[in-house]
Amino acid sequence: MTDGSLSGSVVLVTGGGAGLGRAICVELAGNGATVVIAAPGDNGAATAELVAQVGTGRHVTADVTVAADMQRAVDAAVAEFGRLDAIVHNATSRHSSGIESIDDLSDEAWDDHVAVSLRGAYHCAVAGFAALRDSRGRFLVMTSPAGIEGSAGRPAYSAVKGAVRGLVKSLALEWGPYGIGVVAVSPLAMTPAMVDAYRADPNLEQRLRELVPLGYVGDAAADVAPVVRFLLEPGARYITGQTIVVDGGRFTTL
Amino acid sequence: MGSNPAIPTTGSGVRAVAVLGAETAVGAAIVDELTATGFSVAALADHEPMPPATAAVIDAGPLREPTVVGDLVSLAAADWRQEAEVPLRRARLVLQAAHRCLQDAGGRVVVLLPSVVMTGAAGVAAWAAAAEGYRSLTKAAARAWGADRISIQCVVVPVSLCGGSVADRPGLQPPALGRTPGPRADIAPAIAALLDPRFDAVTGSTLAIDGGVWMTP
Repeated sequence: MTDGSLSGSVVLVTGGGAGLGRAICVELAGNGATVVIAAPGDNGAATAELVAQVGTGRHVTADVTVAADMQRAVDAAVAEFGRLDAIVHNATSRHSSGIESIDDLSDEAWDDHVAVSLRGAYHCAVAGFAALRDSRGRFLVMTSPAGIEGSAGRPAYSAVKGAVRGLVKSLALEWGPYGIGVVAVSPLAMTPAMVDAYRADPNLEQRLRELVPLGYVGDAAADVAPVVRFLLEPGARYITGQTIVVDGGRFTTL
Repeated sequence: MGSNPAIPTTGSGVRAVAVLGAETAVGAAIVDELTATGFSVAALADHEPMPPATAAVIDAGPLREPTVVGDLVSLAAADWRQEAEVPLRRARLVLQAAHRCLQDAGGRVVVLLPSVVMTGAAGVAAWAAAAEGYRSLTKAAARAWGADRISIQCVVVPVSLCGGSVADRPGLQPPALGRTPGPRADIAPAIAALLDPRFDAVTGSTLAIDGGVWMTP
């Protein structure tokens, strides 16, 4: 549904070049937001082309692991569009779908998970704080079921996705007085990373179908991106410090 | 407390427990409690190897005070690494070392974390992030190592026990039990109880020993 609910707002999305990030960019632009797509590669430009079909946006070549890149992306948003209302930190390590044991975790994979998900969140916060304070904006961080209940085969992913949940809780307290909402979103959705995970674990798809009460793994565009949009709308302004679980009922404890 | 058959014995019949972070108030109390109840306790620095016969690993290291307190956006990059990334890496190394030690005979891992993992806290976002990341990593490990008869729990204690630099989140309800639990009177005996065989079926859990402050759904 497109209703212009984000008209006038400017949103920066990290990892917007593919998968869920791309779906979020298109959803936000289609509902009136101006989207700044921060992605290190050319796929960010491809997302910008899709965004242009439904709304307004531009690609900024930026690597979330590089502080200066994120500052440049934020500065570009403010300079070109006059404000920044939200950052959606969706970027995740290219190792996210890899299966490995804790004992065999490579330093390379661990460091990349930490750099993209966790340090990337810090870079987003530092770069975006002043602009978000001015707009009384939002900072959304994508987490994962693995960061809530643990994953035996993806321990590094579990660690950093749990860590960003911890960051969200405390940052919500720090930024609450400025009117900035800080929220984590835990989606279960078909993404390129999930396709890779299916490839690595042939039984995963059937297990998920059995586990999810709604009987399917969510669609990034139809099931997850609209929730992200809602969390950026005025009606969601009283939600902060939470992990919003969008998983078809897979996780039911909270 | 009596003998604990869940903790495998060494050849001499001594039950061996490794305690990291023994210099913290809670860690020291745990060392004393376990020693008094018949365990052979090795208080280890982070870099020290665990004795080969170790049957339980207790990590109070996350209760060390943060070295930098301040708003996240005021943290220098080096301070961020020190407060968030270094302790998260340490968590991984501790669990890897624990697994090497426990994988043949099974055993217990208990990780102590500050209450900010549940409540959040302003001024220590990086430190709190590392602690929550550790908690998530213990769940991954609990799932992976259950078949090796290794169980892993997290125990959350009031952040005020970590030292004076971090305060509880303001406005929290008072402890339902009317007092903040103490390291020696409350927490150390509870940790010892977690080594009891009656907890054999418990793993991947988080137990809050905070007197009833934060009651999660």
